[in-house]
Amino acid sequence: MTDQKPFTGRSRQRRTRWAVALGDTVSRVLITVGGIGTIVAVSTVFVFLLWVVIPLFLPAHLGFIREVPGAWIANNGTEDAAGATETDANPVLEFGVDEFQTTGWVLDARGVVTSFEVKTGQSLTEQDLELESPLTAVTSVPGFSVHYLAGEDGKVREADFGFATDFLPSDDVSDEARALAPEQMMLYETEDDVGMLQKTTQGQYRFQTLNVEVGEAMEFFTAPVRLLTASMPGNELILAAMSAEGELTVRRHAKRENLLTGTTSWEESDSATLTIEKRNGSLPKHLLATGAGDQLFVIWEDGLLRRFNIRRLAKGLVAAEEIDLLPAAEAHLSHVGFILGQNTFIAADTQGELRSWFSVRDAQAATPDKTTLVSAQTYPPTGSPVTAFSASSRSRIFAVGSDDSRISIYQATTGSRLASKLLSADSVKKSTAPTSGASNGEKRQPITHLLLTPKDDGLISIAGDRFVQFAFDPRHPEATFTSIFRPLWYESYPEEEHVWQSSGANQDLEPKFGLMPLIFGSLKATLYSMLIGAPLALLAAIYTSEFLTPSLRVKVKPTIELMASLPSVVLGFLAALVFAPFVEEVISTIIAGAFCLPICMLAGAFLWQLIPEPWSVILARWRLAFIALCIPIGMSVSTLLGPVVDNVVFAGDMHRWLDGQIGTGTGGWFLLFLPLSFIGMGVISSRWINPWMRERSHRRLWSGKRFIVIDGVKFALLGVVSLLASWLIALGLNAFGLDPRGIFFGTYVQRNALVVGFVMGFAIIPIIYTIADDALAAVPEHLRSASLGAGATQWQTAVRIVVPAATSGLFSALMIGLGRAVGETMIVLMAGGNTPVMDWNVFNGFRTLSANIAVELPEAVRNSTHYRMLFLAALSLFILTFIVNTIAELVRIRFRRRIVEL
Amino acid sequence: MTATLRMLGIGLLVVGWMWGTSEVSGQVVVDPNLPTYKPATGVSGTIKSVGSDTMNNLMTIWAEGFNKFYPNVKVEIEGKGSATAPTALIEGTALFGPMSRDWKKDEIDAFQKKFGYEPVTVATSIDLLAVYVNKDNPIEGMSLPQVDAIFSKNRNLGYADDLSMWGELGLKGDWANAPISLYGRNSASGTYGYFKEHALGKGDFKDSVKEQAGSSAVIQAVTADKFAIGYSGIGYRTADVRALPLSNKEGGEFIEPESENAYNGTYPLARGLILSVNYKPNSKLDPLRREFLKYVFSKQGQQGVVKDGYIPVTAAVAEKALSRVGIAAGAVKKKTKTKK
Repeated sequence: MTDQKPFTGRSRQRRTRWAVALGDTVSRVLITVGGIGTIVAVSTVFVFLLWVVIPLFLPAHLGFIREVPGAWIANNGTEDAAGATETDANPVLEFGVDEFQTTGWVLDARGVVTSFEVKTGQSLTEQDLELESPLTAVTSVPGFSVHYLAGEDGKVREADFGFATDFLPSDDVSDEARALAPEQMMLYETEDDVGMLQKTTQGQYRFQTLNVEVGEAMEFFTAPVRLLTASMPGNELILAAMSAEGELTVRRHAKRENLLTGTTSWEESDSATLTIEKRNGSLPKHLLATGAGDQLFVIWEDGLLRRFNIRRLAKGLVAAEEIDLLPAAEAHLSHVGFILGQNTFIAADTQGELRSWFSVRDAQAATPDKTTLVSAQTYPPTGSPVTAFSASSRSRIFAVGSDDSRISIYQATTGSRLASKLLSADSVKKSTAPTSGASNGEKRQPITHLLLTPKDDGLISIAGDRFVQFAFDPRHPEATFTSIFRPLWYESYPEEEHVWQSSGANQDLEPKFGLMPLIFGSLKATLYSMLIGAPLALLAAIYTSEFLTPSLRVKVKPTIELMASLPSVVLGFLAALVFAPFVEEVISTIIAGAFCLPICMLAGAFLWQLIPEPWSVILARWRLAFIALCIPIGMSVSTLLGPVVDNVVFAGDMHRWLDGQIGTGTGGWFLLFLPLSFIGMGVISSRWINPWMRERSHRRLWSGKRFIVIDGVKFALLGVVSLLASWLIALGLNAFGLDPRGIFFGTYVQRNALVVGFVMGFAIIPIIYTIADDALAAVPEHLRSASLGAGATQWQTAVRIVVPAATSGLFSALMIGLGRAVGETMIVLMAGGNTPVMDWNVFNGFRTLSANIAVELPEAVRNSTHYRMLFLAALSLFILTFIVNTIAELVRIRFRRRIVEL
Repeated sequence: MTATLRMLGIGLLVVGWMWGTSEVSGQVVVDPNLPTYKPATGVSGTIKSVGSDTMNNLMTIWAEGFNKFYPNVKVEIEGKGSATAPTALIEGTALFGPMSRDWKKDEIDAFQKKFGYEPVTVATSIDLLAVYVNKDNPIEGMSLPQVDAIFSKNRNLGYADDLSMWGELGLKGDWANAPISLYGRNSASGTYGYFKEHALGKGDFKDSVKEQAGSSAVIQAVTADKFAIGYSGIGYRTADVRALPLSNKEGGEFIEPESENAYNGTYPLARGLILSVNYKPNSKLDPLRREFLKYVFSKQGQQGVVKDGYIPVTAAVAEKALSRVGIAAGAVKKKTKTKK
């Protein structure tokens, strides 16, 4: 290659200088690392959210631990299991364990309480409650250790089966106890007590003792008590009992608390008695009193339920309703029991069908107390007759045992089966040592007793002479895919609904984890704020970039951008404390203003045209000021019109009209159709009237001045016509019985979507405006020049040339505004009312996903269902914005490709 | 997010102050048998408290009084709701957990899982959970079933009809057709839980209850909204709102939310304001916590309670409370059970 002298005479440096090369490499590495880092960070957030959310959907776990010989079951007289007459003298009536599953107790019909070590089945103590007669019925109040025992003597006694927990000082315990490994336990005796000593993981010595205290006998009948039920609403105790002769007695007791001694006693405040007749020769088999203390259910074996309202007993017991719990005639009720809260009960029958029932208020009900029982859930059947039932004392889980040794566990609200396991010899044999051999045989024994342990962490069953323990972990049964995204029938609700109500102070609350109201809230907030913010921002951007003089434009743009510097908490604060009460006062004026302001602006623009040409050229720089003058004028006109709107459209009082108390739907439809008919008239005018007018003016039939006047008359006429048109449509719709109240309008609430729409619109305007303005400015000047040069007006150039060319930028401006609106927290938190309702009503509040996370995360117990649900809300928000942004990007790329081709 | 919430809290507090001055009921006197607090030596460190918003001001008053004795003790108080107290105690981020409700079972479980024993809660004062209306509201009083019918969709207390208009409560004129505007607390709050359990009979709040992040926000909303009704602790009462007298039953006598009605047990919504502490059984509390608790249950501490508008406890209750954390007349409680 010959060395050719370059044309300039200076040789060009062909090699990159090292500094440039280094800068190049460094920046490439930095950008690559930064880019990958961003992707990694976003994916990590996603993975982390997933990591917390996934356990929500893991199935519950039920695992066999051990089978122990229960010496105390021997009291049952089942030593020879094949024995025919084992309707023994001392069947187990009730049993329980402490919360650490160290000690258990059984109560038999003689009134003897035997405590035993859960792990070995070895009996510890035996205590005779010294009741005068054999026990016939036992009942307990869920969540309390108190039981009520009724005997053949017709008396009822209160018995508290409480476990006392004590921590022994470590220098006081025996050497044997000190040798325990953490979590291990042993039988331990102190001077005055025998109980279980367990070493905790922190090395303390926890001593558990069973204390049984029996209260005074309360006389109910002379005949034996057959059925008994109790409930404790607030400061009351309700006991209902039925004797073997069919007498039913309900007693309400008020609590008397002695502040000095700290003892409580019950004082009878009200009672009623009724004799229940036999049905098909039999007396009722179940008796249930609700936790609220307002209803009593008397249930026969064939499924008939008679409901009594027992709130006021002075009028005696009058049946309020009769309902058949069993649709199938051949089945019989085998078990009826309340789940936690004593509101919902589960009816299990001999065919293995399970249904939940609770009472709801229904104004149309034929019952005197306007309440009726409904069956809300049907559970997957067990397949064979249900023989045992146990409800959890801390969640809405219940377990049933059936005839064929099967244990099934259900979640009452969602209706799902959490676990199901056969207590068969096989499964037991596999897990226990082979020593038990074939002693258990192939026989499947019915499960006679079942107990979910107090902490929901275990399950204990008695089947015949077998005492089997399971470990249980329900995980997060309240949250299933169905319960989150589908309406559910919650307790005491009239129908299936989407509800978000995550927590309360008491345990027996039914948690309602429906995410739909929150997603709906996010969408509603976004919709209303975009409706207000997006057109304003886009039109402002078009106006400033296409019509405003450059000198003004450089002043306007930073001013609008300054709006973005207002922190959203300040906006929210102003919205909640200043704006919301103000809007409530002047709402009809604001509605009038929504129509008056644009009309005044148009009128102003029209008046400007009336100014003779030489003057208008001289005054051109004051045009903006002149148009700005229209705003206060429009506002004062709307202030004047406000009361008129109130009277004409809203029958005199807008708040009452919105509430549906007065007026008809006509006014609402009128307002809804007014913008539509304006648009319609605009189309008619530009399609048919304008070309006609243009043609006349071209043919010089009309002078310029005349044209302007005719144009003005056209505007006025079209305005009147559109008013008439929408009024006619409104009348028509109203005549069909349609009412917009309840759909788009409704009761006015001070903190509502309109307020949030205004304020959040204010927050997103600067963002949309800036990006849109930049996008318009980026449109090549030659396009504008060509269009203007070809004779198009400024308006035509802006609308037909510049805006289409800038579509991709405008679109991304909108999408970024949308993204901001979806994720915005503070404004909606403070001004949105935070009511998780699903309602399009502009004048009602809402709760968004983001505000919900902000409100509830501090209270959520770590790794609880609630905590994970909040993460699911965050994940939903993430996915929502991800989808919005992806769509935005795809559309933007498509538009850009088209523009590049220009 | 915590930062923003705190900002919100501060903002609302400021507004709370701007809006009204708290009314101190003068006639409440503390039990003269309460001990006068005397400072001890060796007290230093930071008092960190996380929990109830109802007790926020009360904790501040105590901490200020305590600081007078021990100027080098630092104080950090956060009040975002009772539900935040257990979490903070379990994580060890707080020494004290002020709460306006009892611990829930799963909270105790979580605590027990970590420490082996249960948390100790001591009742420091009495709050009357009051139902507030705007000061211009002419209503005389309400029965609990009516309150239930206003706030709850279930009406578990048995009121026959739903109440959504002031007219349905017998108000005339302007009020007759005005819808009742409902304000309440967010579900993290113990006040929310207590109200739900005792005033709504465990029923559900209506969807239209506007949840506010703090007690002062509720009062502020009731001040600004003429047709509003809300509930909050009595300590947040201002001159711009009225705490309604309540009756237990329909047609019963209206009981004013005043201290004498708290002591005689007639006011239906009286509750204890508690402090939760992580106290290991049979151990000795560290000087900081011991002295603070002694201060709370002293004459000065209980005067602080009165200053904040709540109701002080008696000397007997104070002594019992202190004995539960091993402070009995200055000595550690002796073990209760001995080895055989």
